[in-house]
Amino acid sequence: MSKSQLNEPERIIYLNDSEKNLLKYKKESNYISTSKYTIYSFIFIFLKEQFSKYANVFFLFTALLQQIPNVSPTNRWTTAIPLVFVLSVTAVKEIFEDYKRHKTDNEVNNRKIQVIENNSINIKTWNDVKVGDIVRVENDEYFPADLILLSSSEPDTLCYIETSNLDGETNLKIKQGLVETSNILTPELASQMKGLIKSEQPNNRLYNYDGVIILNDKSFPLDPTQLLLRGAKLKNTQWIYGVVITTGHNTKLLRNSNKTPIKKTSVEHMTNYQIVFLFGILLVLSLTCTIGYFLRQDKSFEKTVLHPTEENSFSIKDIILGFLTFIVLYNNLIPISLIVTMEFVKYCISILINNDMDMYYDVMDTTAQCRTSSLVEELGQVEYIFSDKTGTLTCNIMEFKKCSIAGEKYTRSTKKNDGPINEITFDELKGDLKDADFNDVIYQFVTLLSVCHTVIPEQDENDPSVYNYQASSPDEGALVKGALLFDFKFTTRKPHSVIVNVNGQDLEYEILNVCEFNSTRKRMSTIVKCPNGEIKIYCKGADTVIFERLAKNGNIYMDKTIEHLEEYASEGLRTLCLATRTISPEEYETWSKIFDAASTTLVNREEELSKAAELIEKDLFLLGATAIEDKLQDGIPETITTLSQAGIKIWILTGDKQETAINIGLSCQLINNEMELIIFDDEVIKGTSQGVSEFIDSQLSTIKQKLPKKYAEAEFPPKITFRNKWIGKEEDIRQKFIPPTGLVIDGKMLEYALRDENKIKFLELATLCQAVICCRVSPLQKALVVKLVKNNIDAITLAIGDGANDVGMIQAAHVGVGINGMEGLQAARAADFAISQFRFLRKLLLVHGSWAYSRLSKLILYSFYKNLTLYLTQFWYSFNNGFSGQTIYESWTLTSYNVIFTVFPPIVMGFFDQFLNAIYLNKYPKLYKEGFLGKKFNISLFVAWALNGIYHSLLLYLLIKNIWFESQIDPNGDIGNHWMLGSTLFTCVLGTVLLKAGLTMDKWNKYTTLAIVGSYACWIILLPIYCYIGPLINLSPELDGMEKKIYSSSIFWFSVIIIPCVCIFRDYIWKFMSREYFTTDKHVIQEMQKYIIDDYSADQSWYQKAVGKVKLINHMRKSRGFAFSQLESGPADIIRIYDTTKRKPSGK
Amino acid sequence: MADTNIKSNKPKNNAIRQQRLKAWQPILTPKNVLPTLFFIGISFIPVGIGLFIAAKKVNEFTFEYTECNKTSTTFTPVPNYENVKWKYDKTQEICTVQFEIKETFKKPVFFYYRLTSFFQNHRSYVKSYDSEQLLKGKKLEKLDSNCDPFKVKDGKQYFPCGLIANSMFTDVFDNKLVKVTSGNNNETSTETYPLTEKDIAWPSDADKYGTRNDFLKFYGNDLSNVIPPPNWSISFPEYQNGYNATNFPDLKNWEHFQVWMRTAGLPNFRKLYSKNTETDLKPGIYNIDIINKYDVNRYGGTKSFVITTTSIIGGRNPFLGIAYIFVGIVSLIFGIIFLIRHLYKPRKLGDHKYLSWNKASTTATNTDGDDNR
Repeated sequence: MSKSQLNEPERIIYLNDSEKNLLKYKKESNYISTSKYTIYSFIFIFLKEQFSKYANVFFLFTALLQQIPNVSPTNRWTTAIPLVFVLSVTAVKEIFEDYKRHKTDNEVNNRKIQVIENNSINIKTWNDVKVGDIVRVENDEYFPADLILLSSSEPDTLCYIETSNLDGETNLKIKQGLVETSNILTPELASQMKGLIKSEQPNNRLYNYDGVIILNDKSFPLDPTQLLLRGAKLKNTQWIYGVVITTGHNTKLLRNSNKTPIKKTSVEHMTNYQIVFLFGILLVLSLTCTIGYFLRQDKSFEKTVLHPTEENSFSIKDIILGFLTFIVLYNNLIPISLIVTMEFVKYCISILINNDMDMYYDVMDTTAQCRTSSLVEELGQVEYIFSDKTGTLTCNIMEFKKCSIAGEKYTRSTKKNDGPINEITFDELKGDLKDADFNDVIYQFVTLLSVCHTVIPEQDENDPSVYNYQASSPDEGALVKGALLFDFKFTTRKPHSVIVNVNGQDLEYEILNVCEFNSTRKRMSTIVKCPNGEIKIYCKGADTVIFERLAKNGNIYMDKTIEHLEEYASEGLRTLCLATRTISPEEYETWSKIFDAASTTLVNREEELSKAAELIEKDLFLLGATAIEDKLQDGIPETITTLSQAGIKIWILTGDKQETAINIGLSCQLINNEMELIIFDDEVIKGTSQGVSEFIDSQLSTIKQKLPKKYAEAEFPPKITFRNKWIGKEEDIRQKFIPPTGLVIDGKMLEYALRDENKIKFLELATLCQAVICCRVSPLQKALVVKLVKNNIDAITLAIGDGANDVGMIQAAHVGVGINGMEGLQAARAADFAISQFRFLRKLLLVHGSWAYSRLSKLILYSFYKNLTLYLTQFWYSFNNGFSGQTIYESWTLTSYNVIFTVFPPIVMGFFDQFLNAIYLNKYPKLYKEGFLGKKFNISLFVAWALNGIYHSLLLYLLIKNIWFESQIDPNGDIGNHWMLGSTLFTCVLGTVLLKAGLTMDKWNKYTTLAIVGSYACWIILLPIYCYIGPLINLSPELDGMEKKIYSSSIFWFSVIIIPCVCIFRDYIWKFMSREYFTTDKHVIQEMQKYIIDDYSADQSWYQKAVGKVKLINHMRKSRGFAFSQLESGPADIIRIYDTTKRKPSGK
Repeated sequence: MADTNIKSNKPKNNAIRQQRLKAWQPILTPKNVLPTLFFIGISFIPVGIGLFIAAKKVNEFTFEYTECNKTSTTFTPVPNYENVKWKYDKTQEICTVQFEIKETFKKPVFFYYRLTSFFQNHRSYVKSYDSEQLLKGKKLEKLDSNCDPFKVKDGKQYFPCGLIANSMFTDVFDNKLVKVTSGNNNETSTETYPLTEKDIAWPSDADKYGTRNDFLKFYGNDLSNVIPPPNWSISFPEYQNGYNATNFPDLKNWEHFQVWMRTAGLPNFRKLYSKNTETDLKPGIYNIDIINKYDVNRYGGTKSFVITTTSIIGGRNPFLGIAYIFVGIVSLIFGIIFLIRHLYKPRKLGDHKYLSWNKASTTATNTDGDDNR
């Protein structure tokens, strides 16, 4: 946005004046781009990114150094060529990945839209849509830009939209256009509109809008009710006309989606440090050699043999050049191929993840998608999971599962043998409805279901007997659909009545009043005049509020119903109690006056209405209760249990209400009845920051009393000590000392809790709890909670969600996982990984994550080791060549070490290695801990591997030096030369590092074997060929004649056998001893896997779990979730003006 | 999507994609480690002993004659050497060494010279030659700059250029060992042990160098612009006045030069000078004449000659044998220790009791991945 626009308070959009609009919004287009590069910017951005990596800068520097004459001890192109190779491989990968982004962008940009131009409709693509265009959107189409609704096919300029892409809610929302524009029903009329819209400047506030439309010099205010946002979808409305006010990247949706941040993994961070560390080693080595070089200048060999003619030949310039020579000599201590190998391997792993059959969801025909391959190893280190609820844990499908009517339990039988036998099926209920002695109660019950609600019926166009129900709350929809099961078909809604078809007979219930639902009332009632003239109140609501309002006498079903309610609640079902009462006309008469008066008050209307409702909602007769299942996705409890066993902390962040959230927490076994819940109660806290602060303090001090002193007094958040980086983190075991506790907080309280003065305290409290549930949180708060953990605790966070409202947290977390939900791919698109079901997270983390982490750490450590081993032999050699920087190996042999002979072992390590197979990783989730505690990749391991490399290189050099025996190595009396020595040593080094690779790998399949044995064989075969060809093409004249000598000399073969054996001996013995005498869990389980040993102890956990479940069911719960997720300032008003019988306005 | 029924995203069920490749899990258990250790022990020790014996069987006589020029003109015993005497003829710069061969040196017998602290592997040294010049001659202006500082002098090119050629070892050993018949120092017999200076370089070496004619053809008659390296002018009497058509080096047939040019990898090295593949060297006292021209004192090195037979691994080098024996023994020791421990207190493989969460007593988990080191 330019400055001038910023200063302008509002945008003026002219209706039907494209020239004026074009002048003003020339630069704004509806084209969106999520790609990283364009054809022109590729080289620039790519190089900038590549050379932000230390390693690449260093290699570029080396390559340049080599161009200085007389500096390089090796051929001058030996760094430049591999570097170019490595960069081009990365470039190809980048181009490939960006191409995919371009493709999806193009797909979006080329969607079709109808634009009104000069009285007619033109089909255009989305990217051609401009500010000020009037567009026509058809049913089930997405809005191409932010629009102001002008008119629609529905009565009263209403239209329904679905905003799952924006806020994750799949229920429909109602928008209503201004009356003044409602007559614009044809393209002609639209084209004739004159006037302008003053609109706010583009911003990211999804729920706010301010604007004014000026028609015929009269201005009418615009608010969010008229605003249709890009990303939303038109539903159940044939068409609408709308004016485009903002386009492309200015739309609220895109303003909300931050540019996907480039995420770096902690392993990458540490690798970067290690590269710097290696660079330090390199400097030390170079400096040592330079000092040696400097000191030797007085030695007479240099003076007499090398510089006999020159006087004072030695200068500062020589020292500097000498130093540079050593830098070039040792530059490959930093493995040039490491970064590209890592990226390649990560890419391969991501393909393997995409191809996992266990994460294939056949219902939707989707596989897992790994969108950011660079994060794969982070999957093995996740310590905190932040999960959305709706659509992530639940299917977002409500099902009328059970009901208790007149003390009888009825259940919807889906399968035979499903559910306890003592429950009666719905089919039998239908029979009871006719002939049971309490059939009137059943009748009332079902009537209530089909009458007392705010659902809008819609006749299916194809099959008039089928009705679709538009409910703003999925629970209500489920209840009305539930009534269908008993042949009570709700067919028509009029402003003052509803028609229900009972057994083929239309019954019209006159709706006299509706007492709306809100969170304090926790109930809704409808006062209806039945077809037989009786006036009745039908009331449904949470059990506690209903029970308070029951008649003292005559409620014969109460005890039974309470019993059933408890049963339902323990199963995690959402319950509602239904009650009714017949009202005498006189009573109604007096009451309705009070109610009417209340509904016309201007001040505190809601309160007045509540008071009025209170008067009529009394002496109710309890009919029974309903139980709705907020259907969990498959395998949720198991997945959550397993993940918690793995030591992962799971927090639920949901936009839902507290009761619903707790309910889901229960049913997915995140919390259980034994848990103590810390609920941030609005009443206690009184909604101030001070209150929240005091509340946290008091809770913290109670909990801390139970902690051992060491932990209670520990600083929080724990400092990232050197120890953490050295041998990995210490496990947070504080939770073990305190009884299981859960924390529940809602968005309002969270706002205070997240303030600077409270947030650390809050975090400490939250980390002490086994379960954390945040309800009614906004997308922004979700992201803030994730950031709170991410920024203050040294832990990897993962956020998982399905809706656009989760995008914030998905991007904020280290790893973002999107659910390929039923609707909307917004989250999946912003995420690093996309899966179709929450349960796939288990395999993604426990198996793929653990593998990736273990593979990559091996790959990295091994790469460092192998380079240290080879290049340090050069360092030891310096002591024997007068610190001249001479290489012991021929230049291209040296270069090929990194790009040919030792490139495959790390790759197969990264691709195939499995320290345990998938079954065992699944069976023993506790092994996952190693990941987030950083046990497999830390500085101590790095140092250990580096020391090993130093040890091996020293051993290698000393052995070959002694074996070489002053060059007299041939039975024919011939002498060996420098290059023969080098090639022999090279063969030994290669043998050693390949043996080490074999020892490091936990699994040998044909490819790994091929890579290890093949690399060695490749060298053995290529060496004589190279010795022959190299000198011929003048690549390596020094090797001339060696092909005939080297393999015929027995000392070569004897060295090649003994030296690697000596080197690897320690590693072999050590590895054996650590398994035998310092046995770890991993060792034991590996043995179980190899020798197929059963572990009965693992099965016990299932037994314990079963016991837990029985306990759970037996346990009584005080508060139950109840089924009402309707919005508080609900659309009841709008719904009541709805008339499905009214003719829709004509127009097209 | 209409075509979802036909086109399925279902991943292919093959071993690679599902990561179920048949694989061997290399687990180091006593069952496989103990046999391996014993196998290494049992197989390496005999090999080591064999190599050790082979090395010990090599007969070798080494004598350092660095200080020969400081000795008297008559035979005097050499300190630190048994039965070795030497004398020095200052005018002719001839060092004569008298030594005793105690056992028969079975043929073939090789004669090496040995230099120490000579950095033939120095970076500025290794590259200081011009292969094309050595093969067929080269124009001065095209000469490799690596030859500096012995590339050009006063517009004349050095032939051969570079440090390696200039520093060539120029002592001359007599091509025979002369047997001394009796204890009398001055009495020499006609019995000699001949040494040939042919076939001492690698067979392939000859291909890298040109013949005298090749060079004469290239440089024509204008040999005044081609001069011998400075050291050569001093050490080789024939080059004192530069080159002419008859004394121009015939590199292809000059094997000492080729041997020198094949640079050694370590600062102490031997180079083959001559050999006798025909006859054994009988015990006795022998004299050898050395024309002493090469100065090693200037850089603090030493020079020696070595008369030796060879073994399968070259010279009298017991190291390799010892290394094999050592590895074998260490391997056996570890094998025995592990075996005893295994018999005394075996560990049940894959026993779930060892799992940290089944160990009731220990609270801390020990799940380090340290064995990857």
